[in-house]
Formats: sequence, structure tokens, C-alpha cells
Amino acid sequence: MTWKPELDELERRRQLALELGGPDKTARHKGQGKLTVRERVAGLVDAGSFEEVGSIAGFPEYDAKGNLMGLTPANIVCGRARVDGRTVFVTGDDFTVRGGANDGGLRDKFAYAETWARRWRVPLVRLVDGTGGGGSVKHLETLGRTYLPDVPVFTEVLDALSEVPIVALGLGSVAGMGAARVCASHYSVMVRGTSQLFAAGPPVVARAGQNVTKEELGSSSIHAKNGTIDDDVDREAEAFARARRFLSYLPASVHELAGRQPSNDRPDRTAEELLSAVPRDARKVYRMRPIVEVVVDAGSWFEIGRAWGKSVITGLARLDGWPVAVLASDPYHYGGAWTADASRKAIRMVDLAQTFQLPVVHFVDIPGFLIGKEAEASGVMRFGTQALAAVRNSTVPWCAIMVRKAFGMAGLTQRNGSLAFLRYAWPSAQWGSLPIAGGVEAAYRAQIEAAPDPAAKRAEIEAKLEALQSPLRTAEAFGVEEIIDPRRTRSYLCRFAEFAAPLRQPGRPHFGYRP
Amino acid sequence: MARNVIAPVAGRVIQCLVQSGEMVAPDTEVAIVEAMKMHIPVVAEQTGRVALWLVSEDSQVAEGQALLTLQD
Repeated sequence: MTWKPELDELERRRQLALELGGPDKTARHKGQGKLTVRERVAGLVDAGSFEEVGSIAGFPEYDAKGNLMGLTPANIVCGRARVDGRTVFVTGDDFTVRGGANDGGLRDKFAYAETWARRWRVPLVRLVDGTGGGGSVKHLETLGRTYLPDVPVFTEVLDALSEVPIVALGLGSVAGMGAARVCASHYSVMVRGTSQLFAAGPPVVARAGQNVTKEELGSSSIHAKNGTIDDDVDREAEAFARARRFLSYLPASVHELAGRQPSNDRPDRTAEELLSAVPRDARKVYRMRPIVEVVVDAGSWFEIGRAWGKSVITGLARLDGWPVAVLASDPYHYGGAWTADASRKAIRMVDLAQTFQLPVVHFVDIPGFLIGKEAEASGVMRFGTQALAAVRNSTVPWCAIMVRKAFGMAGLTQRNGSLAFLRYAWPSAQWGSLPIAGGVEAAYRAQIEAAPDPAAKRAEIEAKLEALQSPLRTAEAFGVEEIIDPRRTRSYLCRFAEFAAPLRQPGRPHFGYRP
Repeated sequence: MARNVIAPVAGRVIQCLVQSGEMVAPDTEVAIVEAMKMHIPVVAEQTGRVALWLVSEDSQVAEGQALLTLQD
């Protein structure tokens, strides 16, 4: 006698679980251009690496004699897997069972799926396609009572952000807790057209007097532009690729350090175009992204959050194989001035860098915080000051390339709170507490007004001050570490990455990561 | 179908670079908006013919405001 009959019974249950919510619901789901949860897991992880946990957990139906008649699987599929050879934990919602809502799941399996990664110190990838924690109000009838809203495990879910990298992909219409699970991540992506995200969906919103479609209410474009998510893509496969790419720069947890990858790009490679990258005409803008791309290891630039907070560009890259976080100004957007959104976006990247000990490179061209009525109405100084705090509280090694402007309080973001910071200035750099043009008016008003030709007097004073603005004069007073040849920027940064590597300190961040 | 080219930043339109009837393509500069003392080019994101300017030189525009309408 063997235990083969039991194994057969196990296999039968596994096969039933693979049918998800049944052929009709699966066909309808796929008909909307979406993959099933199992196809998603397969698309994300290394081929054959998925080791499922709780594969037969669900809702069995037995007849009076105890024979299994059917099995509806719990609507979470989870397990360990490998991504580019490294262990991760994956949890995916199955929309074909009760719309991915909590009442189609098992509380213990949900808790397990959300906490395993944190407890075992590996990255977590969530494939979110479900609604709230409460499921449907129908649930009240079954329960015969109501309850205080709580998801006991959510304290640990949120704390996990200070322990392991978390990537969340919004792959359907996600509401309530589903939406919060997308946002409670270090990197989040939605798919254009097939995913939406909201606190509550159109039927609930309609009761509050707004009649809108899912897309009008919470399309990926709305949320990529307001910073609720980091990026949106055209297809689910792209979302998987971005998840893998994001994780490639990070350690498995805060208790380890990110590894160096072999690089074929010479650290001393020069870039001739950088000599003329910044126009001499002070009012002319230039493209920052090509500057970043030519400086970092070839092909290593991974931009995050392109659609929002546009005056600051954020992303991950490698320098001689070492992963780093990058901030860079985009002069095409308010001349690089930090807006409320740009400040929020910078906070997100700096906190990520601090949490996972990625040294930061900042390409600086910041005329200040955005000024004017709209800027004040947006609360720019509150969010800007939060950004200053995030930068100055961070202690990870930091290197600024002073590309052009650094003015005012926003200019303080050139360096962080680390004792290990470096600033290299291009000859095009200029800086100060106030830009000359605006400052002259305020500081020399009496002199200008008293002059026979006030306009000529203003111009004379401006010319006199501008002559003092060369970065060489600052360097002569050792007000900046070094002025460099822009063409050689890469070699300086690669050496920075090398100096920085041993200074990285694993361990929990000194703050609780706030998504 | 009519589509708009919008101002990427709030500021003052200092130059309109294309005229009604002209064809534009992605990356064609259609206007210069001055913001934070910088001259910021506004580029078309799609191909089309300029049907109508909705603002004139020297006007103040809000971020996201339509500057001109394109036709197929």
C-alpha cells in the first residue's frame, strides 16, 4: 500500500484550482484584454521557477458522503519564484473569483501572502486585480453583523516597506484595499486602458452625484500624472518587464546591500557632446535626459515617474556596475524649478535611495522653488520643505553635478545630510541665494530710483554683479569642491560610486518608509 | 478630429512659431512660453494641420491650457 490515492486526490484538487473561476469567467476576463493570474505569474518570473504556496486553498464542495464535488480556489495565487535568478515572493489576485474581492479569499492566505516576503527578507511583487477588503455589502447578510474597518495585517504590510522592496502592478479595476495595495509599494505600474484605480468605483461615486466611467474616474493616465502610481505602460508584459528591471537595482532587503553588476562600459569614457550641452544663452533650455544617459553605464538608465512632477527627473542607473539613484532637473519644465509635485516626486526617490542604501547622483539645474500665484496655491513651500527634510535627513553618499543653476532654498537640495557628499560643477554653473535679475530690484531700489536713468542704472548694477557670478570665483574661495570638464563627468561619477560603496550601511532606515 | 496643443507650463506666450494652415509633426516647436525667465519651447505631440490659435503672443497661459487646435 502506498499513499498514491491521497496524492491523486491532491492532484485532482490542484487541477480544479487551475480552472480559476471557471471557463466563462476566465473567457470574459481574457476578452477584456487581460491575462489570468496564472499567466501573469508566468509572465513575471523566471521560467519554471514558481513554487506555489496554498495551491489547493479555497472553497471545496462535498456531497453528503464527503466526496469532493468541486473546488473554487481562493482568489489569491502566491508563492516563491525567481526573477533574474533572485528569489522574490509573488502574490496575484484572481479576478475570476468574486472579482478579486476579499470575500473570495481566505484571510489566512492573504495574510501569509502579504507578509512572507517581509519575514523572509525577499522582494514582494503584487499583481493587483481586486477590490476592497470588505468585498461586497452582501457579505453583511452572511455575517449577520457589521464590524469596525480593519485589516489587522496591514500594520505589517505597511512596515514591510521599511524592510523589503515592494513592487505593485495594478492590472484591473482596483478599488479600496486593492488601490491601497498598489500605492503601498516602492514602485507601481498600471496598464493603459485595462486598469483603473480609485478609492471607490463608478457605482459608489454615482451615488455621490458623479456619473463617470471607470476610465474617466481613475485611468492610468490620471494617476501617472498625479503621482498615485509611478508609471503606466501599454501592455501587461511591459509592466512585468518594468517590475523585473526595477528590482534589478535593489538589494533583496534593507539588511543587504545592492550588488555590483559587471559593466562593459569604460569608467573613463568621455562624452564630447557634453562640452556644448548647456547653451551659453541663459534663457535657452536644453535636454537633460541625454546628458544623464550618456554619463551612466550604457543602457542602465531606468526612468521612474516620467509623467508627473516633471521639473525633476528621477530614476535608477548604474555607474561602473554600481546601482545608484538619480535626480536630475528638467529645464523644459519651469526651467527646472521645483513645484509641489516635483518636491513630492523627489521625496519618493530620496526615500527609496535611503531605505535601500543607493548612493544618489543629482544633476542640478534649479532656479528655485516655483514662484507665482498658482505655485503658492499648490502649497509649494510645504512640499518643498518636506523635500528639503527628506534630502537633508538622508545619509546615503551623495554627489551633485552642478550643471547650471542652484538658487534659493530649493538649491539646498544640491547636497544631503551625509558627511560623504561631493559637488562637481560644470563651467556653465551659476548659483546664489537669489538670481541677480530679481534680486537687484529689491536690493538696490533706492539707488535705481534716484538715478537720472533708472533703467540704465539697473543694467549697470546687473552687469557688475554678473561679472562676479563665474563659478571659478566660488572655487577660488573653495566654495565648491571642483570645477570639471563636462566631457569627463562619467569618470568622476564612477569614482564616486566606488568611494560610496563601502559607506553604504545595511539595516532598517531611521524613519518608517511612507509610500 | 480636432486635438489641442497644450501649454506644458504656466507663463507668457512670447512667440507663436507656426501659422494657421501649417502642418506640424511630433516635436515641431509651435510656440515659446516664458516661465521662470526661461524660454520654453512648446512642441506638438501629434501630426496635424494648425486649425486655430486659441491664444495670442503676450498672453498669459495656465499649465495645461490649450494653445491651438490641430486638424487631421
